[in-house]
Amino acid sequence: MQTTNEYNRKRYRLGLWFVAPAVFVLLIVLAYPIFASLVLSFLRVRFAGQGLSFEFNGLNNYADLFRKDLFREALFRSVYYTVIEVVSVILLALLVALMLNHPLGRSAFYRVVLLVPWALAPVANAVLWKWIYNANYGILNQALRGLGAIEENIIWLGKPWLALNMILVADIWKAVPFIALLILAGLQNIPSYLYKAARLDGANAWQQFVHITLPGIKTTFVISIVLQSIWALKVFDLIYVLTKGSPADSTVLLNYLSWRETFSNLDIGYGAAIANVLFALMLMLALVYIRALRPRQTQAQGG
Amino acid sequence: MATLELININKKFGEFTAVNDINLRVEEGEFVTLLGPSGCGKSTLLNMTAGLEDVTSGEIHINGKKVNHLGPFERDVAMVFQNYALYPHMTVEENIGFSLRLRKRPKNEIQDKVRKVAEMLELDKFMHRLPRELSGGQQQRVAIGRAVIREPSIFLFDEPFSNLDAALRLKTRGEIKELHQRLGVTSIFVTHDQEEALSLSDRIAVLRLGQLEQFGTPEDVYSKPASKYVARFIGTPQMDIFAGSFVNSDGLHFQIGEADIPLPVSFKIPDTAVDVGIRAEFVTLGSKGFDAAIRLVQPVGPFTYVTVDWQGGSVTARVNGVSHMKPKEIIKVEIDPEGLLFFDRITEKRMDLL
Ligand SMILES: Nc1ncnc2c1ncn2[C@@H]1O[C@H](COP(=O)(O)OP(=O)(O)OP(=O)(O)O)[C@@H](O)[C@H]1O
Ligand SMILES: [Mg+2]
Repeated sequence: MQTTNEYNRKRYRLGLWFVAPAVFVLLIVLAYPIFASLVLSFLRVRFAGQGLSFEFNGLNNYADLFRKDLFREALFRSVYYTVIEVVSVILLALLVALMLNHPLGRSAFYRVVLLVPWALAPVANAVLWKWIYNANYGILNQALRGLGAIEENIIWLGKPWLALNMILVADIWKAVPFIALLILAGLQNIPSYLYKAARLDGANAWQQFVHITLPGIKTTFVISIVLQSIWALKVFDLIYVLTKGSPADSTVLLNYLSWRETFSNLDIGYGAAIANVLFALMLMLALVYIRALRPRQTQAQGG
Repeated sequence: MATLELININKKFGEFTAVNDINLRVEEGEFVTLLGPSGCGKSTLLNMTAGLEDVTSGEIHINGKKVNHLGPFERDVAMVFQNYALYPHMTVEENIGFSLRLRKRPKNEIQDKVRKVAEMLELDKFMHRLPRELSGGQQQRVAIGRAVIREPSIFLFDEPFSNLDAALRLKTRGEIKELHQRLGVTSIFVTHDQEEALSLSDRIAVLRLGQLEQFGTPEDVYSKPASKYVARFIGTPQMDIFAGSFVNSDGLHFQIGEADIPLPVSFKIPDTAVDVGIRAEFVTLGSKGFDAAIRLVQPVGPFTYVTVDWQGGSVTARVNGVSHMKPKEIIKVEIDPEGLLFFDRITEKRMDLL
């Protein structure tokens, strides 16, 4: 006993040395910024003479959140954006995954094609859509005019709600492939004999989908929803490239607002406060994610 | 209850023929086993019967009606899978009642039926557990319950015991047999375990490379195997087979190496070369016969199987009780001509000569 304990202690100590470098790096790149941002959000930061001056500001930066209309609007728009994005991405991805899982869609060719949007660099994707949406030369206007659907060019990114929704479209296009592959993996994990058993029990195609397929990809679903929510909350590059928040701040979402307050308006404390709100939202989602990934506890044994 | 008829059934996977022209008629209430080694097409045949797989050609009749075009459910067959195929997210109760819920039966009717089936299979204590919270044997009973509740006209079992340990296998085997005696439902049972087949079946269909080698009662396939293949496949220990020839001097003998076994006068001498098969219960070790050295002694409880080197090969004898013979001892071997089985050396078919 003594020796195994001694042995385990040695192993443990050696293990600590192995993980130490990784922990050190994580502390620098993750823990420090999070902590700094928290501290900053309680300060008023000013540019004075040669450098910065810090001054304790209590909860004023957070109180400002409630005072400023723009934050409330951005929060509302972020929620709208996230809900629409999550619902559309999940439904489209499910559809795509079901098609890829069908015998006719099994060819690797489709999977490769599907991956293209996902493989694009985010900014490249944004620039691509900027051209597509271009009011004068954009392919979208040309295509719609060619089809006779519209008579005059539409300024896609020029009207408040329209602009936000066009950003959504670009984001959804990029996000569907990854989630579709995630769901596809979930689908392929469902053993085929379950479908055989269900057919013998008299389940038609729809009933098989409801009773076998959906329960089989439930975990994948939860994970997809959480990942996609985080993705939608932190959208930045698309807004930066496509609209920079215009027209009339109608495409300012939380992450973009935080960036703008910090680096354009140089209201660093307030920007940090917004960032922390975002951080809290994502942290909650991350907790849901971790719960979903944990193997299910055995339920109370019934009698 | 129903009759099942397979008529000229063929199944090809691309160029590969998995099932080759099988004809089989199963009577009402009969328990028939499909027996054969791995890959001989047992599951394929069963899946085609269930409607999970299409036939390449041939007809399947249930109760005299052609069912080729019907889906699994319309054929009114229920199946127990090798890995049970329980729905992992449903409790025992939900698993068993699933088919009734699909048919939108009233709640209390479902509950009553599920409880009855669960009691019969001693599952009533586990109603609210998920499959993975059950032991292998319990999962297996849930799979049977899911089949039983449908009151189908045919049960199909695809190696339902293969995931169970030896003791549980024997117990479950008994339970299946009892279930069949109680419900009397026509059953097709797939296994590669000959002992299982012998102990369960009314009739056994022995398959070889997708073909039907013999279809008969357990007694028939054991004591009148149609071919060498069946003879070797059925029976423990495996039948010993020797080449030999007939000698007619001082009465008719069958000569194996230096040993000659006297044959009765009524024996019909064939005009082809033959091999002879010897089962262990027809071999006696003792003071009469030909010398042989003991190679292997295997006690199995009520018997001991003693294998001896004999005439360039080896032959196994069944000795009652525990034997104290030792390897390398020399002993005399006598063979009872009554127990000999003769096979055409070329076609490997058995010949009725005695
Ligand atoms: N979907 C398929 N595609 C191609 N070949 C197949 C397919 N299913 C079965 N086979 C082949 O058909 C033959 C019979 O298969 P089957 O599953 O019926 O064997 P089995 O007798 O049930 O064997 P086991 O005892 O191992 O379950 C095998 O050689 C197998 O490789
Ligand atoms: Mg099989």
